[in-house]
Amino acid sequence: MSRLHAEFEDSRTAAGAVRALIARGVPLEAIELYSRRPTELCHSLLRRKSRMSLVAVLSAAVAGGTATTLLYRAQMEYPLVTGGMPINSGWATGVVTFETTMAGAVLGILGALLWEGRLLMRRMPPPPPMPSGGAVIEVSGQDDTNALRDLLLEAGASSAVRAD
Amino acid sequence: MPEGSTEAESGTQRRTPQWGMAIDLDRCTGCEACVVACSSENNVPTAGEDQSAKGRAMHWIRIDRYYEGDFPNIRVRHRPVLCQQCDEAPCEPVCPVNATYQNAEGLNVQVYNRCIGTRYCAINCPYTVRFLNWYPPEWAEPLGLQLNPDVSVRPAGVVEKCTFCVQRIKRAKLNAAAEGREVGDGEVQPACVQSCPAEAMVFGDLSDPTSRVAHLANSRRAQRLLEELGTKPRVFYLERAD
Amino acid sequence: MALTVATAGVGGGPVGHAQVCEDLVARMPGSSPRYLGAVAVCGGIVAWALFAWVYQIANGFGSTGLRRPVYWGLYIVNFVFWIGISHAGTLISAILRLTGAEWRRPVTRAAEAITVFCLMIGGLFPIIHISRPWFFYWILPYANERMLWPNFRSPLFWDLTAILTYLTGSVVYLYLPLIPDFAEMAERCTGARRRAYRWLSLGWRGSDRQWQALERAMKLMAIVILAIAVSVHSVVAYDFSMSLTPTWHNTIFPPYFVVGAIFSGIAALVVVMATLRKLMGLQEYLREVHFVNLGKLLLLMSLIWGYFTFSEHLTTWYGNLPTEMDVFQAREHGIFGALFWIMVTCNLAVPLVLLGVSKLRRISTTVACGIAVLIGMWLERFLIVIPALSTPHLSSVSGGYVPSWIELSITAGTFAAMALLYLLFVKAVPIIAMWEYEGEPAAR
Repeated sequence: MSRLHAEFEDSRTAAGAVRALIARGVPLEAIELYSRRPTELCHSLLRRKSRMSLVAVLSAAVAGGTATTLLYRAQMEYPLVTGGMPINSGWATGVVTFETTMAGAVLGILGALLWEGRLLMRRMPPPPPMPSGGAVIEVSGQDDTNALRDLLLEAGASSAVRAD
Repeated sequence: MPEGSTEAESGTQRRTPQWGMAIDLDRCTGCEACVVACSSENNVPTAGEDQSAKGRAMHWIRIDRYYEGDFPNIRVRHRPVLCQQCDEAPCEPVCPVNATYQNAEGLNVQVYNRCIGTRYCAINCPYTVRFLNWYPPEWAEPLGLQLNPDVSVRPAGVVEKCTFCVQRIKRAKLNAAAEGREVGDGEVQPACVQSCPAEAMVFGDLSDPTSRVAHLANSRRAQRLLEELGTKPRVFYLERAD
Repeated sequence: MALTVATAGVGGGPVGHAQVCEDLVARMPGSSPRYLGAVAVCGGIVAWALFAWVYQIANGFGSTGLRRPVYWGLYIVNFVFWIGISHAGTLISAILRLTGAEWRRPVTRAAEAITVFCLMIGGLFPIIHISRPWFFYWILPYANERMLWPNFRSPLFWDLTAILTYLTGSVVYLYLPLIPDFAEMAERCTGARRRAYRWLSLGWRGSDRQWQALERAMKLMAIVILAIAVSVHSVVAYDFSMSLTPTWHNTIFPPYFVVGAIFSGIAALVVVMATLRKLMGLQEYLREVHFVNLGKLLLLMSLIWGYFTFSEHLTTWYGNLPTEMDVFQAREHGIFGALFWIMVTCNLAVPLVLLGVSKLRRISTTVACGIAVLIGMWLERFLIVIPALSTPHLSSVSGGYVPSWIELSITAGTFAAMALLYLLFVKAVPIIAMWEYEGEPAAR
């Protein structure tokens, strides 16, 4: 699998290069931009699909639902004599439902971040060395590596090398 | 579940009694015999002079004194205050570990072993009749030699309170079951009731309309303490007529 | 809101990511005698507090100053106080993040760290408070052979879920923006420290996927943590308002507590920021504009707090219920009365003058207000808990409360613990998020 690393002095030039790559038909999946600070490309050209909100909502629902069910079952199957007070009340249980729902959301967000950001993955190749102010574009899995390198150099890359 | 099992096993007890108490304030002289009797029956530790001054004295029943009028025309009113065994007890729902609950006979039960000592029940009791064991229990000599074997001694850190002398209720039920009859009216006498020289206190089954306590509870003089809070106490005070 | 009027602008500090990193790393405390001395002093006080706690457990709960009817004392006061301060992180960070107030950037991490540390400290108090702390785990809903469950109707169980959720949430919320900085730190260190930072950075590579995931996660977390923060202090207030104790049983407590929490949280943040600024030489990062903006926020919360306090007292006075009036009178007169007026002065009068007059509003006055508000809010919690308990429904059993040396030691110990945790934190982590500082889209 071929990987191409092109270094840029500033992210504006890198943006031009990304635009050129996309115009040439390189799929978004093959392009990755490394930088020491978030660049505006994250919000425009390189905007990736994310299911983070959905995951958060789902895991919140699962956590809240599970906890509420546990509460209900525990109270109903091992009932207390309360002398007339309700043994299971939606109002009292509601607080716990809310908190566990939120806990589920937090864990969902954390999990989605680890997955979508590909954190904690051991098999990832080492990142390219990064200039402190600029950015590195990585193009991977493309056949016409030489042509792409020329294209990147033309777009203003200070260097473009194959990293295999 | 904890209650009802003994009745079910013996098969003799047909009705679940609902224990309650009536206290005639016209008769109460404030002699505090009930306080002494309660402490010795229930192994209530003596706090000692220093600790009592710090507000750590433990008395499951106490006599509240209220003064009326201006000197020299003063009237003293006494009111024995013990756990009111509320039906809707505020102490119960707040305990995070269910150490206190209502049993089938209407007693507000404290499970000493389960108590972790949040003291939430103690601050939520409007009658302030719950006590914390600040230290491991101690008795002034020679009181430690006359502990009641029917009553457990509570360890440090747990909350305790009046039980309506549940050990006496249990014994009466066992005796009745052995003889194949029901517990009769007046057969159970908590220590305070037994020792009251003025016979101001009556204990019995509120659900039995013929019992003395039910009769007194229906009296026009009967009132309950802080009834406006909706706690539904089981102790009825017969207010003074004057 | 006036918050966005004053923007951070370009300060006199280092420009450019590399220089910012270099500068901030250089400002992290080394092992100077001054630093070690501070750690030793704080650690000593914490050790003393731990000794006091052990003494309390070994000698019985009677070694506290508690008594009947004041069964709840300083531990509950401190619990509410510390959980309250923990709202600093959520307010400053989450609200300012969501509203896009850019001046927040050098402030957020300091605030988020306060949240985590205060929760760790505040969360200990329920355990210190119970008289059989070795059984504290009985409150957890774990399966056991007797099928004994905790009481899900108890506000203390709600507390448990709320605080655990808040602690999880705020740790995640503090950790996420730390990940890129850990990666950055790993490159600047060697040996064991490098390995530790690399391990902590979870394999951060700085790819655009990661930046996007991180920014998205922070936005979602900000929303969730706000909801949690409001609920947590409401649940703390439920501890009181679910009870029958006179003046506690009212509906104003949850919002009143949340407002008070945010109020004291901002105050704590101002004080912490000023300390960091002075000790670490962060004058170029934490500038007057930050203090002035936080000062305005503090003034706003002071007014809202005053409004709530007035409403609470007015309704009690007008309602004129005998049991509630007993507490009311106790709070107006005698020793509690003196504390009450100190509280009003600290929480209302001081901020109103020092922050309300624009000419007086600067770093020193904001910090003075922060200290005043911390004192005032601690007193507020004290005045909520103690007078109400010492005048119960039946006046025959009323009684006062004087904390013992144990409670005072543990109280002092928690402040030292806060300082200690912060000292250790700033040694390991740049206190200003390196990637966020000037972290606007770089191409602009």
